[in-house]
Order: sequence, then structure tokens, then C-alpha cells
Amino acid sequence: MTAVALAPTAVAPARPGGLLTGTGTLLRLALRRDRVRIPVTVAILVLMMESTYSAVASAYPTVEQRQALAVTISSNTAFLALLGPAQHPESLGAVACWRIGAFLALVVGILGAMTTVRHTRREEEAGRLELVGALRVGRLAALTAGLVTALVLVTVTSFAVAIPVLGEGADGALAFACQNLVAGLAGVAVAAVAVQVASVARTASSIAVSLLTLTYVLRAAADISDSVSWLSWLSPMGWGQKIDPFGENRYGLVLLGVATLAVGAAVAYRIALHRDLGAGLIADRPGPAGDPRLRSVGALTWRLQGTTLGTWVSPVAAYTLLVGFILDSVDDFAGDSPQMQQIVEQIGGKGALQDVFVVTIMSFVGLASGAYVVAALARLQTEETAGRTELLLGRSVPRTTYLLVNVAVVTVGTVVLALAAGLAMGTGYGIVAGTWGTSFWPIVGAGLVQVPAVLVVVGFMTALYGWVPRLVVLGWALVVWSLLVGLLGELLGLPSWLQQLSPFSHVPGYPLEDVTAGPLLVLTAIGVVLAAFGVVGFRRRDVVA
Amino acid sequence: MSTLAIEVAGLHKSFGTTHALDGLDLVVPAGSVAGFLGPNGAGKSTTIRVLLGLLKADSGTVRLLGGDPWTDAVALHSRLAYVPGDVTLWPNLTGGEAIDLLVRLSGRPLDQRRKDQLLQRFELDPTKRARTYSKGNRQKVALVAALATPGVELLVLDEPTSGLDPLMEAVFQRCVREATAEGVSVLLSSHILAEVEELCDTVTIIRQGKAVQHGTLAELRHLTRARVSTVVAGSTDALAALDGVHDLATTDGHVTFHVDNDALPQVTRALADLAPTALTITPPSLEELFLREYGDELAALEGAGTPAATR
Ligand SMILES: Nc1ncnc2c1ncn2[C@@H]1O[C@H](COP(=O)(O)OP(=O)(O)O)[C@@H](O)[C@H]1O
Ligand SMILES: [Mg+2]
Repeated sequence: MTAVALAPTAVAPARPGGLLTGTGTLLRLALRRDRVRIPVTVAILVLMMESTYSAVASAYPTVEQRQALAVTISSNTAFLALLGPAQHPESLGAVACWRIGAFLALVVGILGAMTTVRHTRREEEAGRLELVGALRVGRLAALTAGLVTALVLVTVTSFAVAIPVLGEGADGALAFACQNLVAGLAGVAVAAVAVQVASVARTASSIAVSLLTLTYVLRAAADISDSVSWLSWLSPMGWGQKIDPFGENRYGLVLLGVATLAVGAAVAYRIALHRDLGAGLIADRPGPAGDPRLRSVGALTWRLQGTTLGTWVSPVAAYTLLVGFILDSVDDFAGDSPQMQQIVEQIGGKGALQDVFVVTIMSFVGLASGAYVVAALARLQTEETAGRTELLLGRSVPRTTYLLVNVAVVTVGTVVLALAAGLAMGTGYGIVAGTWGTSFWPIVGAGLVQVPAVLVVVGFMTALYGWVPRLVVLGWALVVWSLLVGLLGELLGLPSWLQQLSPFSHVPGYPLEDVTAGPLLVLTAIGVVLAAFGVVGFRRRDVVA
Repeated sequence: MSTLAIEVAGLHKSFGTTHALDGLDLVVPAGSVAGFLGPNGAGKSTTIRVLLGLLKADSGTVRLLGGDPWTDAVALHSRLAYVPGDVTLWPNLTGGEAIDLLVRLSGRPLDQRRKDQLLQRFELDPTKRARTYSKGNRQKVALVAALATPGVELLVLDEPTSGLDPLMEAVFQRCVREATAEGVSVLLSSHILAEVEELCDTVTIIRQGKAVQHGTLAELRHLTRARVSTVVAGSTDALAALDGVHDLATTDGHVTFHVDNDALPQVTRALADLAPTALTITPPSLEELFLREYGDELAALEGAGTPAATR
């Protein structure tokens, strides 16, 4: 007893720690950091599912209408590629899940991958893992905490998006949740390996997202051609499809996703145990010792923002090209449904349905463009807190020039995005329909009329950054709000002034409606005034490192 | 043309409730190297950011190379070069590219030979991506960019040697001396006293946003006492009784005390009578001065630490 009583002055012997020591603490930290992000993501996806479900329910209320739809789809290659076959027209739940399923599975997969990267490689790249790794934290704790966080996100999302179709049957809803979960698990698995291979977070994200997109393409190829239908067994998107919600409901296939995750995690753990902190399997190559073209803020901004723009343009162009391919057959899509016929009559006859389609897709392109603007201009704040803005403004660079160059590059990016979408869709349509003259330019125009509304987002972001840089995240609120108004505005019966807060609600529905210069000029003017206001603020405030 | 490169008087700057600068005065004569000393959080970086027009002064006058740094920032910046205390670079640019960019953004042409020379002296590999650089290497990139900018009249250096090894610190000091030989003025903020003693003509010591001491090194040294350490056989009472002798302590015949500069003649005479077998007189150092200015803070810190130490 006496010996024990004297002992406390000595340093307690270190408790033995395992590879996973500290995982719980790191996990709580990660979930706390995502406490806004996760609920917002889930809410947006649930609302998208809800709006899809109610749209399908009102457009195809009867079994006959849904059967007609299924037949039309089965003969249209582009639709098969985009969505897969509509298998159970007798069930409204099945058709609603089919309508959004392939897209949603890809989104959940990408979310899982991005979340994994955010909590693992990005932390390591920022040097925070070095700080944590020096504590009583096991070698695999940070990776495990990151994986679990991503798994929490994909699981919650997968089950939440099934809520809107719960009324169609609990079995089917559960199968739909499994369909999304399989993709989510695969996304986490792919990213787990990617973050070990690449030493840069951005590269890891690109690897993971490309692989997931490839699995989508494999599934598409299998759906188009019977001779390669086995390809869908290689794709988590294919497994999800085979779960067949509101049809066979094969929940068991979710185990394929679990197995993928197990393999991915095992490989990731193996590499993680044997590699150095900060290193990957791909080493950094040396670069040029100088660059004669790098002589202005403009050149630097292009260099930094160019790749970002590329990563936005390519998926938008690919998507609109595909839409262009199916545009010609949209009229068949209406089938003989009297409700659809009625709607078509209301909007001005057969050809008008194509225009409706063009307008809808282009409004999504507009929103994507708005998201690009927010992401690109929010970076100004990150640059400032990192101290790089100080480095530039400490040289002979006027503040006005610095801010306007960034605004100009993003504005050009906006126009490029709109133009790329228009040209891609017009080209897709031209190839399939064989008509170029009368349809091509209106489609390009439909893309370009989005630009003034996006300029309002540019102005809004510039004003936020110019005056209160901490608040640039509010830009996301504007984009999400515009998305919700676009999807649900009429449905929720929101007061019109609330809907009109979305700049995109003022975009003319060209080519369905005529373009009047008025709203476009007003939107542009608002954008320019907001941007100028932002510049004034930026010239007056402290630049804080 | 003003003979002062930097002139700051009564400068105030607050961040919310933090009063970072509280009536600061600072002058840097043209062509001189001015040390700017203070512990962490004293307001050195804030002052420098106001001098660069990155922060707006709440009140007070600030002149830089004869202009107002807030309104004439762009024109003034082409005549100076700045090295921040904590350098962050663009992760996917190489060090060489960052240097090129920073030099050109001063509105000056790039002198390739000068750049190569500096890269060699600082032993910096310009082909590496910035994200792979250590803190010291990022610091070197900013230093090379600043020193390679031709036609600069003023160097503003905020703790420029943090992260550099002693060899590189020596290279840095040589580079600064070469610059001053060409008539460049330098403001060097630091908390490393040896560096300031080595390089600076004048020193300003700040504390909680206020200048507490300012003068040439010689003037400041005059404010402090030399430290004497000796071994004598006899009694030290006579020594202790002299004016200008402080803190005398004896352990096993080993005697240490401080002495005012003007009391040195009497003290050395008295010491000689004691027939010392060993004697070192350490000249007054900036460190002593610094410790004296911050002595109460130090005492408070140690006081706070006492209960824990005696536990
Ligand atoms: N952007 C800021 N917001 C709030 N407080 C700040 C900011 N920048 C500096 N401070 C505060 O001002 C004081 C002086 O900081 P600083 O000038 O960085 O000191 P030094 O460079 O001497 O270490 C510190 O108390 C610091 O916390
Ligand atoms: Mg500092």
C-alpha cells in the first residue's frame, strides 16, 4: 500500500495503444465538422426524390400510360444508356425509382468518395494529420475515422431518399435504399484506395470520380447491347439496378457492395501501414524552374482556375450531348397518354415538347453554372486566409485589378459553360435528327440566356467577398434556394416574391417563349452593380491573412 | 525626398475588441537597417501590414517612402519587397515559377542571372512543387523573390529567418548587408535578438502595440549593465558597497554581479585589489535589455508557475 501511495509522483507508464487508438475522438471531430454539410446534402437529395416522385405520379397516373412509356424507352438507345430499362410499369414506385435511380446512385457514390477524400487525404495534405499523428493516435485511426464518416453519410442518404416512395411499399423502398447504398459503399471503397495512391487530394478525387463514372458507362453499355449485358456485373451501378426496387427486391445484392468496401479498405489499410506520412504511390515530378508566361495576376488566375473550369465543362458538355441525342424522340415519350396530350396541347403542340425539354435541361445547366461561380469565387476567401492574397497585394498589384481579374475569369467561365452546353446539345440533336439549321442556334441560345442570371450570382459573390469575406458560403444558399424554387416552387405554393428572389426564375423560357431583352438587361445590370459594389468594399477593407 | 524610409506616429489598430496597436511610433532612416523587436503577439506583423496598405490604420500617421501606404499602395510596392512571416505558396506552382511571378508583379523585369545566383546561394531547388517544400524552403522562395527584385529601395522582412538553419541564416545576413551597401533601407522584425544585434543600426522594441524603447544599438546598450563573473579569495563587501554594482551573489568564491556602464572604472579598480583568479565581463546585450523591458511579464509567468513547480 505504501509503495502505491508514493507511486503517483512517477510518470504513469504509457497505456499500450493499437493501430486504431483515438479513432472515436477523430470520428466525433469529423462528424462535428460535417454537422451542417451532411443534413443539407441529405435534405437536397430527399427533395429531389420527392419532386421526381410527384412529377412521375402526375404525368403517368395509370398503368397503361406507364406501360406505353416503358415500350417507348425500350426502343430508345439514348434513354437506355441514361436511365436503363423501365422494368415494372405496373408499379408507380418502380417507375419513379427508375426515373432518378441511375443518376442518384452515381451521386451517392460520388458523395461517398468526396467525403472520404475530404477527411483523409485533404487533412493529410493540409498538415493537420501530422499534428494529430504525433498524439496518442493509432496509425490507422485517421483513415478509419474518415471511412466511417463517409459511410455514415452514404447510409443516412441512401435510406433518407427512400422516404418519399415509402407509401408505395416498404419492401420496395428498402430495396431502393439498398440500390443507393451499393453505389455509396463502392464510392467509399474506391476513394479509400485512391487517397492512398495519390498524394494530392484533388488527384484522388479525380481518380475516384472517373472510376465511378466508368462504372456508370459499363452499366449503360450493358443496357444498350444484350451481347455485353454481363458488363453490368462489373459495375456497382449494375448491381444496384439488379436489386430491382419494387420488382424482385433482391436486397442480398447489397453484400456485393459490402464486399467491395472490404476489399477496398483492406488494400487501403495495407498501403497506409507501409507508406510515409504525406506520400502516395504516385510521386511528384519536378516541374519547370520558371515560367516566362506567368507575368500577371491574369496569367496566374487562368493557371489556377483553368483546371477547375475544365472539370465543370466536361461533365456538363457530356450530359448535354447525351440529352441532345434523345431530344428527337422526346415527342414519342409523351405516348398516347391523354394527360400528356393535354399538356402538349396547352404548351403549343408536338414540337413544343422538345422545347420544354431544352428549357428544363438548360435551367439545370444555369444552376450548375451558378454552383461553379460560387465554388470558384469562394476560393478567393481561402486564398486570403492562406496568406497568398497578401503575397500578391504586397507586390505592385492594385486591389481592383486583383478582384476584377478573378471576376472576369469566372464570367468567361460562365459563358464557356453555357456555350459548351448549347453547342453539345445542338450537336447531339443535329446528329440524330439530321436537322441543323432550324434547331441548332435556338438550342445554343437557350444555353446563353442563362448567363445573365448567373451574372447575378457572380455579383452576389463579389459583393460578399468584397465586404464580408467570411460570408461567401451564403453563395451556396442562393444556388440551393434557386434549385428548390425551380424544382418545387409551384408545388409548395411559395409566395411569388420568394420565388422571384431566385435570379433563375426570371430567365425567359427560350425557345418555348420569345426572348425579351428587358429581364436579361435587368439581371445583367444587377450583376454588374453588385460586382462594382463588391469592388468598392474590397478597396476599403482590411486584407487579413 | 524624405530622409525617412518609414515614419509611423501614434498608430492605432483594433480587431474587434483586440487593441493590437496602441499608439505605436516607429522610424526607419533611409539607408539604415531597423530592427523591430517584440515577443509573439506584440503587434509586429500588424504594423507591417498597415505599412503595406493591407490593413487600414484606425488613427495615426503612416508614411512609407514619402507616400501614404493606403492610398499609394501600388506605386509604393514597386519600390519595395516584402517577405511575410508565414509564407504560403500556390501548391501546384514550382518554387521557380512563384519567384518569377512575384518579381514580375512588382512591375520589374526578371533578372535571370540574379535569380540563379540567389537560388544557388540559398541552395533552393526551383523545380519542386511548392506543396513539397518545407517551411524553411517556402521562406527561401519568398526571400529569393524579394532579393531578386531589381531596383528596390526598401526591404520589409517579417521574421524572415524563421525555419532557416544557421548556415542559411548566415547567407541571409550576407545578402542583407549587400543590399544595405547598395543603399537599400531595411525593416527587420524579429524575436531573435542575436540576429538584430548582428544586422541592425537602430532598434525599436515594442510591447502590447506600443514602442517601449528606441535608439541605436549603442544608445540602447548604454541603458543596460555589463555582467561580471569572477573568482576571488577575499571578502566582496567593499565591492557590494560601490555605487553601480547590483545583484551581487557569491557561491563558493564564485562571484557574479551587474554593473552600470559609468561605474566600470571604479569597479575594475576595486576588483584588481581583490586579486581575481578568473574574470569575464560580458558586454550589455540586447537580451538583457529585452528581459528588463519584459522582466515583469517574465516574473509574473514564473510566479504563476511556482505552485506547480513546488508541488
Ligand atoms: N486578423 C486579426 N483578427 C483579430 N486579431 C488579430 C488579427 N491579426 C492580429 N491580431 C491580434 O493582434 C495582436 C498582434 O498580432 P501580430 O501583429 O500578429 O503580432 P506579432 O507579429 O508581433 O507576433 C495579437 O494579439 C493578435 O492576436
Ligand atoms: Mg508576426
